Amino acid sequence: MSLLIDQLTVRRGNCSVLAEVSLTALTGQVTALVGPNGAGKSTLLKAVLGLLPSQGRISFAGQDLAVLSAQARARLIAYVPQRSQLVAALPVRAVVAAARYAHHGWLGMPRPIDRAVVEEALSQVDALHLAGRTFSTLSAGEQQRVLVARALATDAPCVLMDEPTAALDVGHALGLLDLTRRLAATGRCVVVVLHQLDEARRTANRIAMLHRGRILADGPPDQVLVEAHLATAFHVAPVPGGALGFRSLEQS
Amino acid sequence: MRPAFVLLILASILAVSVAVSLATGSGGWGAERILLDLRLMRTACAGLAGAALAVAGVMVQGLFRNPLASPDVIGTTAGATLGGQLALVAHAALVGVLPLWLAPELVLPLGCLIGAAAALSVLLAAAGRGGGGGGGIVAVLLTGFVITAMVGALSGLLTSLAAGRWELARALTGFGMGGVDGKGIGHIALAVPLVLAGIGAAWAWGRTCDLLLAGEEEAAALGVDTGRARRWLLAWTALLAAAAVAVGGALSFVGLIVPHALRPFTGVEHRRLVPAAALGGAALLILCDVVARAVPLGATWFGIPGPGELPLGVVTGLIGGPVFLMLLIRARREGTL
Repeated sequence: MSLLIDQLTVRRGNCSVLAEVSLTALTGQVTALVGPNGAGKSTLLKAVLGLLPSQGRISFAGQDLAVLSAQARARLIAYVPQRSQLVAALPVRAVVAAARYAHHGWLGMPRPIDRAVVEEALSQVDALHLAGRTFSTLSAGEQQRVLVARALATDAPCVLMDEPTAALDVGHALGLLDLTRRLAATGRCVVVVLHQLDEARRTANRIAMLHRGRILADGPPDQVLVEAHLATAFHVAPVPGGALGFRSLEQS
Repeated sequence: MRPAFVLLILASILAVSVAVSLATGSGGWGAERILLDLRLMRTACAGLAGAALAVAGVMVQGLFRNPLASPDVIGTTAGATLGGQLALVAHAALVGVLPLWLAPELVLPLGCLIGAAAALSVLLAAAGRGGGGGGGIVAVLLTGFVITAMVGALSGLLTSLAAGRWELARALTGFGMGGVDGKGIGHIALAVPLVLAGIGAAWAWGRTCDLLLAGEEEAAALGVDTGRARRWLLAWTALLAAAAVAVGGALSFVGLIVPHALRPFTGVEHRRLVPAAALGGAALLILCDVVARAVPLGATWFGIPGPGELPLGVVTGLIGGPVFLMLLIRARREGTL
């Protein structure tokens, strides 16, 4: 089972945000999407989710996502947005329980197994103690962990995460990256947008670097995070000494 | 507070409201049977209209992610009122052609439904539905204001054109002011299935509304067919607003006040809020109707005979207007407007 993206193009007006992008994300692996701001990373995730009109073919485990209903697609692919737009005073447990919608639809009632899945998902992201609190009163980092729990509670075999560590402190960020690896180890296909290249190198089995709506490089971290690609995409060069630090090429 | 306890309290308040409504008027409980029957009719109409408007308010606020939305604020009630008035005019114009059994109260709900659906469609097309904050709320409120103003102008035009037929003009004016007096079993028999179906549908779509609170993008990612959900929610909202207007005329602010008043007790989850709103809306409008009857307006005012009782729409407007302003001021202070 794998997520196959073939010749994906997304246009906004006359501008191509993504141009003929092809990518394969395998199950059991963490695939990181990296690239400068505006490269099309979040757009790629939203196109996979069917949230944007696009051309090309996207399939998971051989199923063409374009022909699936929203409910069937949500059972296959879970999503962690950069930030939730939820402003209403919903309890955390209800936010995570929303993930079970795809399993019983608009008319269904939560079953005991749904409640167990919600508790387990909250526990996995160290957020069980937040379950009774109101989502909108949580800190950005706590909200992010709850959103990850919501994605886990879908039980989907493919998880897409859009900058999940952006609002997290270093401890929780490392914990979350560890969780992505554990998810992949359980046979899930994990695609994660990351801004920090050192996080991508430590976490991902494979990195796809996007630049101006196209795949610039795709492969194992040590083949993608090389000087030529970094210079083209980010206008930076690695500092000598082994650690993944950078200096700006524009300043020098 | 436990949901069952909240519902029990609201049911008790509703029972007391019904009792007070039946006892209010000349003769009190000892009034003749015919008077009690009339009071029972208007109590039932007020209860149905209140329940329908409050539940429609819950759905509209969920759909637009906007706590300041309600069927009257966004122009749906005005659309239903104009639709109802057009139905009354059409019925009067075709009175010799239509079969005798087709009474005005039978065509009224259809006109109200078409008017409400048209107003909601215009709103959705003009203001969008992502109004979780910032310009979204302002766009919804302004579009609702424009729809209400335009529909009000058309309603005024219709009433003035009907001025030559005194009874029709009086019916149109009374309908526009809102009220449950003079309603009969025909109105109730038509409204009961519509209101019950609308409340049931609102409860059933409650989980979808919960997901839509996070915006259409997140809801779609969680499995909501947002286009289908939007169409159904609009249809049920229009149906509820139409049923309310058909039995109660143009009544403002009920759909705004009731969900706001109940959320601190039920929380924002729609499947808890909908039944509570139905009970609370019914109780509120029955009590408003009691106030309308209790205010003595039978005397002569500046040489003109008084109307006998306060129009129900005036009572809901006088209560709801200040509440709406208070909510606007609070939203501004919280920076959500």
